[in-house]
Amino acid sequence: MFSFNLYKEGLRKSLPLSALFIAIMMLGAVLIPVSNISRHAESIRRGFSPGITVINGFDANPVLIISMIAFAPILTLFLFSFLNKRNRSDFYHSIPHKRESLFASFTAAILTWVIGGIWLCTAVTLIIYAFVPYVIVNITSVLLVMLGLSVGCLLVVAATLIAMSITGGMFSNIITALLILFLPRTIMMTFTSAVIDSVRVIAPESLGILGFINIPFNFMFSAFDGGNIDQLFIRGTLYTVVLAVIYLAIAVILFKRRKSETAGSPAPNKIVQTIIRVLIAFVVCIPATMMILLNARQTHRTDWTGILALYIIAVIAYFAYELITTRKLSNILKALPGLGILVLLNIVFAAGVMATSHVVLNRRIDTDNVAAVRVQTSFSMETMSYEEHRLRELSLEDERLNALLLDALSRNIADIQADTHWFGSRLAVEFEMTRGRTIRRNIWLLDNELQVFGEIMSENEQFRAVAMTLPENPESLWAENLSEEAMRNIYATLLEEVSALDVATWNDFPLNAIPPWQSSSPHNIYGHIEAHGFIRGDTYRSSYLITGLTPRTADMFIHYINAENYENARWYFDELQSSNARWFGASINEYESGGHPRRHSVDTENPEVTELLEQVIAVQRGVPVDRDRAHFSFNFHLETHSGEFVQGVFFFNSADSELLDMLDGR
Amino acid sequence: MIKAENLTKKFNGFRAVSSVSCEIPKGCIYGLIGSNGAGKSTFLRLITGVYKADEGGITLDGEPVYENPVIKRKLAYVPDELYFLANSSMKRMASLYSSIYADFDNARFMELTELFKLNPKVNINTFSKGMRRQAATILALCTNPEYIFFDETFDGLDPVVRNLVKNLITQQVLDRGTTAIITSHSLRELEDTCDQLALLYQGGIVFESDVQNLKTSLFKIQVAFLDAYDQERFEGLDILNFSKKGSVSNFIVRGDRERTKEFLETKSPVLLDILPLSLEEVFIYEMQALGYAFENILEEDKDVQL
Repeated sequence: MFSFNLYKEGLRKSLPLSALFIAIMMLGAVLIPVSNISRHAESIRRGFSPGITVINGFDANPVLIISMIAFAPILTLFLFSFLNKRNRSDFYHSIPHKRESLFASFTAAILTWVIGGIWLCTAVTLIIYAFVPYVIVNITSVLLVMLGLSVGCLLVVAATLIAMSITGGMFSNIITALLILFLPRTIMMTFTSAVIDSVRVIAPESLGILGFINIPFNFMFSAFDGGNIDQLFIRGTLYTVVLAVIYLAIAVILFKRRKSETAGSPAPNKIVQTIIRVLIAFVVCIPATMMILLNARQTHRTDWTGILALYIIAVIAYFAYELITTRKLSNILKALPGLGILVLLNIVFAAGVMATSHVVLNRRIDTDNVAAVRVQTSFSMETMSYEEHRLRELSLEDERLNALLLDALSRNIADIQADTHWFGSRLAVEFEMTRGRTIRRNIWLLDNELQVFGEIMSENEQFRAVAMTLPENPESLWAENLSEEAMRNIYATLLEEVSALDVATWNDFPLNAIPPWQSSSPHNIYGHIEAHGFIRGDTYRSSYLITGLTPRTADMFIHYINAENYENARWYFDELQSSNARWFGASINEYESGGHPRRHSVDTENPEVTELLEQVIAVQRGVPVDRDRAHFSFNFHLETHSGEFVQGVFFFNSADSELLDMLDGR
Repeated sequence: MIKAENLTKKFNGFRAVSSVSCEIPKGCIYGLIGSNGAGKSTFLRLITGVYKADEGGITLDGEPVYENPVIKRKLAYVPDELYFLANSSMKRMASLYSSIYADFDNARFMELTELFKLNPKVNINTFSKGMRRQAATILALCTNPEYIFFDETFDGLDPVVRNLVKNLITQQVLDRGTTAIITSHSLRELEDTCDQLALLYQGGIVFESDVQNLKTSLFKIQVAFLDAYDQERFEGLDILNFSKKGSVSNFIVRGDRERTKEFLETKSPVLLDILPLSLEEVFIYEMQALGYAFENILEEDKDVQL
C-alpha cells in the first residue's frame, strides 16, 4: 500500500516547488510578528502604551491561506502530472509498485510538504510571539484554525486527485477539480436560496447539508459575504475531514481503475467528457433558471436580457470546453445532443425548487404534536455569543411558546401565499415533534409577539440561567485601549456585578440581549469588553457593554482607561504641536441621560482648543471621574509621517464653560 | 516464459491488438516486426503491465503482469517515447531507478555510461536523440531484469552504437538468461540479433518462426529441362512460388535442401541451381503463402521494402 522509496522520491521531486511556497509562507510567518514587534517597540520607545493585540486564528499568518488555494492544488497537479503525458504515464504504470502504493506514497509526499509547511510556519510565528509583550496569542484558536486549514488542504488535494484520475490534460484537470470542489455546494446553495427566496420560512439548515461547513468552498464564498474566516475553519474541520477521506477513497479507486492510455485525453470516454461539459454549462445556467423561477413567484423584476445572456454564455462555455480539450472542430456537432441533457437538468432544478417550496408551504405543524422548541437568534457565519450557544441547546417546553410561534408561522405562510410583504424580528426555531422528528423554520415575530415571547422566556428557569451566566474563564478578553491586566480586572468585576442582577434588568441591553428584544438603555454606555473562547468545540465571542448598570465595572473601566491612555493623549498633543501628524482625528463624547453618548467633533488643529483639552486632561489625571457630574471622554487617533500610530480615550469631568461652548450642536 | 493467450486490447472500438497468442521461451531474443500502428507498442505495454488486456491474458512465469509488483520487478522496459525527469541527469535518473528497482546495479551503471561515453552528470536535455536512447537502455539494463523489452530501440542510433547495443542485449541474454523482446519496423535490424521473429499486422501475429529455421527452410530453385514440362513435374515438393520462362523454371521450395536436390536430380535437369534466400525474401514468400502482400504489411516504411 505504501512505498517509502516512492514517498522519498515524491518529496525529492516536489522539493523546488514546495521550497518556493514554504519560503513565501515563512516570510509571512516571520514578517507579520516582526512588524507587530517593531510597531510595539516604537510605541514603547515613544513612551506610550501600544495597547494589546489579540492574535486569533489567521491573524497569526494570513499568508498561510495560499497553502489551500495554491500550494496544495499546484503541488498535486505537479506531482501527478505524469498522468497527463503518455510516456510518463507508461513509465509510472510499468514500475514494480501497485497503483495504490504509487498513489499513497505521492499523496503522502504532497501532504508532508503542504501540512508540514503550515505547521512549521505556525510554530515559527508562535515562537516569535512568545517573546513579545503586548500581544496575546489565542493559541487554541490559532491551532484550531491551522487544523482546519490542514484539513482544507487535504480536501483540495483529494478533489484534485479525483479530477486527475478521470481526466488526462492539465486544463481538464483544473476544470474538473473546480467542479468537484465547488459544483455540488453551488447547486445546493442555489437550490436552497431559490427555495428560501420563494418560501421565507424555510431555514437553510433544513435543506441538505448546507449546515455543515466545507472549508475550501465556504472560504471562497466568505470572500464575497465577509463572513468570519476563523470561524469557518474551526467549525468546518470535522465535516471537511470526513469529506476529504471520502474523496481520497474515491480518488484511489479511480486512480486504480484509470487506464494509462487516458493520458493526454480530456476524459477516459465520451460519457465523462459529456458530463464535464454539461456541468460547466449548468453552472452558468443556474442563475438564469433561478431568475426565471423568481419571476414566476413575482418576487423580482425579470431581466430577460440578462437571462438570455447567461444561457448564451452557458452554450459558449459548453462548446468552448469541447474545443479546447479535443481541438477538433468536428466535435462541436457531435456535442450538440448533450445540450438536451443541459436543458433537462435545468428543468429538473426548477421543478425541484417548485416542488420543495410547495411541500414546505403546505406542511402544517400541529401544536399538539410539538414536544419542545429550540430557538436560535444568530444566522450567519458570524461567531455566536456564549449565551447564544447555550440558548441553542435549550429545549424549551412551554405550550404558550409553541402556540405563539406556530401562530406566527401560520401568519407568515399566509403572507407568503398572498404574496404580501411583512416585517418583524426573525427567529430560527427548531420544533421537536412528539414522534422524534425535528422541523426547522424561520419565523418573523411582530413587535407585540416579540414582547410576549420575551416575557415567556424570562419566566423560564433554564433561560434565566443561560442569560445570567457569563463565561467564567474565557480564552481571551478584548477591550479597546486597555492592557490585559486591566481587562482581566474589569471582567472579573463585571461577573460579580452581573451575578447580583435579575434577568430582566441585565437582558435589557442590545449587546447583552438574547434574543434580540431591545429597548433603549437608561444607563450611560462607556465601552464594551469582549470575551472569546470555545464551547463544545465551537468558538464564541460575547460582547458586554460597560454601563452604569454595573457601576463598579464602569468606574474601574474609566479608571484604567485614564491611567493607561494619559501618555498617549500627551503624545497626541505633542505630535500635533510639532506638525508631525499625517492624519488625525478627535472627538468628545458627552454623557447625558443614558444610552450611547452624544458625539461632538473638536478642532484640535486650533491651538486654543488643544490647550484647553490639555489642561482638562492634566487636571483629571489621577483624579477619579465622578459619573454623577457632567462627564465627557476625549477620543483621539493620530498617525505620524513616519507611520507611528496612537489612539486612545480619556474621561474627564468638566463644567468649564469654554469647553462646553466648544462642543458643537449644544 | 512469456505466454499470451487470445490477447486483445481495444481503443474506442479499434482493436490495436487482436487475439494474439504466442509463447516466448526463457532466454530468447524475440523480434516483433510490423509497420506503424501494427500493435507492437501496445503489445509491449500489455506485457509490461502498463495496459490491462480487454480480453485474454498475458503471463510471465505463469503469473499475470498487470498490477503484479513481484513480476514487474523482473522486467525492464525501454519504450519508444522515452521518459526522463525534467532537467535531470543520468545520475538523477539512476537514483530514481534505485528507488524503484531494488536490484539496480550502480557499478554496472557507471561501467556502461563509461562504455557509451555518456557523462552521467550532464542534463539529459542536452543529449541527442540517440544518446537519450542509449541512456534509457543503460538504465534498463542496470535493473538486472529477467525480461527486457525494447520498443524501436535502434531508432536514432548510429551503426556503431547500434552494434554496441545489440551486443549488450545479446550479452545480457547469454550471461543472465534474460528474455528480450525487441520491436522494430525494420526486419534488417532484427535478423542478426533475434532467435525468433514474429510479424504483427493489424493487431495480430500473422507469422512467427525461429530465425535459423526460417533461413534454412526456404530456398530458391532454378532448373531447366530439354523436354517440355510444367509444374506437375515437381509434384511432391512444397512449392511456394513458381514461374517459368522458356525451359527455365524458378521456384521457392519449403523443405529439406538435400532431399529436394536428390528429388530434382532424378528428373535429369540440364540446369539445377539451389540458391539461399535472405530473411526478407523468406518473409515475402511465407507471407504470400499466407495470402498477405508483404509490401503492404510494411508499406509505411518504404526503405525497408524489398
